[in-house]
Amino acid sequence: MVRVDTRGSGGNVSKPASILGRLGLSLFFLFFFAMGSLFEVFILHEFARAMGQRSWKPVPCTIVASEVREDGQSPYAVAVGYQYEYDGQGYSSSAYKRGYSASDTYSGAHKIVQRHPVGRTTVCYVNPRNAAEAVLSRDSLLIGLAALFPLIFVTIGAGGIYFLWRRSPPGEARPIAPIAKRTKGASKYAMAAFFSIFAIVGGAMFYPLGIRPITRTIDAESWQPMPCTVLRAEIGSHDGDDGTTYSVDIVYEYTFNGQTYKCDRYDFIGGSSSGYKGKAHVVEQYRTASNPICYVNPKDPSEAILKRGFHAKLLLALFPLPFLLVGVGGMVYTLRSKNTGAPFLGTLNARASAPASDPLSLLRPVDTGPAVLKPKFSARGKLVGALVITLFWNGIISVFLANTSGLMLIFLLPFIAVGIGLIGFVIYQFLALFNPRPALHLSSRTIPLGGAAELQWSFSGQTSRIREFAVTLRGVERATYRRGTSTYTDENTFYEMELYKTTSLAEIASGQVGFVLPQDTMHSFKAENNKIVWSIGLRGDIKSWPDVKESFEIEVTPAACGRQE
Amino acid sequence: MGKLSIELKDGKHAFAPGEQVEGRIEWSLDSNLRALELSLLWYTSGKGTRDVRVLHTHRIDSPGSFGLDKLSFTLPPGPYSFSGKLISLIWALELTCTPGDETVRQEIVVSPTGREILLTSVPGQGQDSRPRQSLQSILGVPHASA
Repeated sequence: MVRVDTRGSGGNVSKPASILGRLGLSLFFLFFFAMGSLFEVFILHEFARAMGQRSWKPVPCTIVASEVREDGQSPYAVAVGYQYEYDGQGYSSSAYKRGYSASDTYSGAHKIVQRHPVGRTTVCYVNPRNAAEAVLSRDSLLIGLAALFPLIFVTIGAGGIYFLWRRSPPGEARPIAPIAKRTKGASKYAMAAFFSIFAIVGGAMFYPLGIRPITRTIDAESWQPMPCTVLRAEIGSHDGDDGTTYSVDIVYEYTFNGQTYKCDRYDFIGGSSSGYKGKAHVVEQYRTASNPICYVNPKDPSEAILKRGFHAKLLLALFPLPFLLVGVGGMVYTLRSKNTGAPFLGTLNARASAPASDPLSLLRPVDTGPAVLKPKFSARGKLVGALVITLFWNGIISVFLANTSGLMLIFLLPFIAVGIGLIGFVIYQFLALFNPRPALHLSSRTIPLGGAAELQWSFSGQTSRIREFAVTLRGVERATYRRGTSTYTDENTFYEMELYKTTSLAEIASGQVGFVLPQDTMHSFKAENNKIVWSIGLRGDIKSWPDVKESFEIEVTPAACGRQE
Repeated sequence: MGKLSIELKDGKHAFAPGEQVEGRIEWSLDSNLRALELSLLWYTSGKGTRDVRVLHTHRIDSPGSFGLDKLSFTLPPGPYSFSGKLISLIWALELTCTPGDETVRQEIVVSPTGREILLTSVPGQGQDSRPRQSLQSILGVPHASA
């Protein structure tokens, strides 16, 4: 028997790596494991501290001081003071929360002060082992969720080392059937878990970046316009790994129902970004404005905003959507897909996997009537697909590009080149939209090996633009494999026959050709990673324009029953 | 270390689709087993990630430390055993112990010709998309022109 060599790097049985290679890879995985473990320990330590604080005793306390202090420019420090009694002894404390010193925004600090006005009796939490230690707000337990993130690195590191060094029996001695049964479901759930990361990240970003700003923007339409006084207007400068980003920092004061409030919210998106000029313009406008207006929330007058209504910055709300859609879509598709490894196409599938009480009946194709062949992707579908990929790719690149300068820009050049190539591909697909469209009719939905069939074609549109037309029958083996984190598909054409070729305009417009499939070859076969695909390819050459290139899959079934000698 | 074996009737290893595969299995093992499983399956080998499909499984619970049993499976119409440049599809009977991964596998050929189908490569692939063989030139029909 002839067997395909499986020792290639992309094959199932990979060549064992040398000791040096394995040591090198082990170091790589060890780095993952060590870094992941380090973060894991740090997060778990913080989580344990937060858990420990749950045992602190809640006692009534009285707020004696509460104000926002602006010692420098920003951040804004919250100065609180409170008194409480524990075991009959009086104590005082100024700790709001363990590790808290100040807020980045005035609004954030002011909210804390608002919740703890002077004179109010509230609950504070006292450390039973040291009653002088108390807080108004306990540590959040949500930090426990963050422990999941480094766990990915720990798993990759530990898993990599395990699979590198584990002893496994030689391929021939390893059972196939039990492993196939075990891994059938496992791979499906592993894929779903992978997509769930996208869904969680997308979902987590969607609320703060998407839903919240939009609902607040809609809500702010009913907020009351009030005159306000600008106390300070400047551009905040923030140094980061990708360079400096800027923010609009405006602190303003207004009076509502006889009470004076201070706020620093400009819009609902907030944060900082790379553009300087636009922000400088906004700051200058408010610095010189004679009668600036802010919009005050009548339900909570401490809340106000300078810029309300829909604006381009709100488009950021769409940013988490692709993550969410890919995640949820991927999970649904993966969990709903049947991991069958079905041997044939279409209708023959069900019969092939049914109990073989009458094996001869299985050999008869179910439907041998004529069929209208359809391309896998329509011209419009190809354009939409190309457009989505191009927008996604260039969208991500533009985010990096907006925050990049110098050396980083050189690093981005190959990615920019791919983006430009994708734009070219979209243009190509758009032009191809105006090509003549072929319609194909095959005399039989399924063709057995050694069987005959007749193919009819007709074009709609400007057929006269096609200079030469050819119809080709092709048989291809298609193998999909993973290398690292990427998936590749290799193809090998094992059968190719040009069925018809013409330059006659009348014959291009419509025609027919009969053909006989070879008998001593392989029928259509579709498993998850390995396929035998038969197709009819059409090629129409058009001068100075994208050619007509369509491929139509056909179903080739096993030959009629019995052994051929 | 024990012994597991699969013997096919008349030493036959090549079968036509839909044909009956007959033979016997034999085991003689050191320890008592929970079960033995005999599977009829195909799997792929080659560049692509392995695909496996188990079509029938015959389970023998508490088989004892030694014994023998008949095997009889009806083959489906396909897929055929084949070998190409990238993929091989191999049919096999596999006898496995539970617990443990001790196993014996007997490969068979499922094909109407009695030999696995060989798929070669069309020469000149990747140079351009034009086919090398033409039905019209084989039949001696000239290409029509405008």
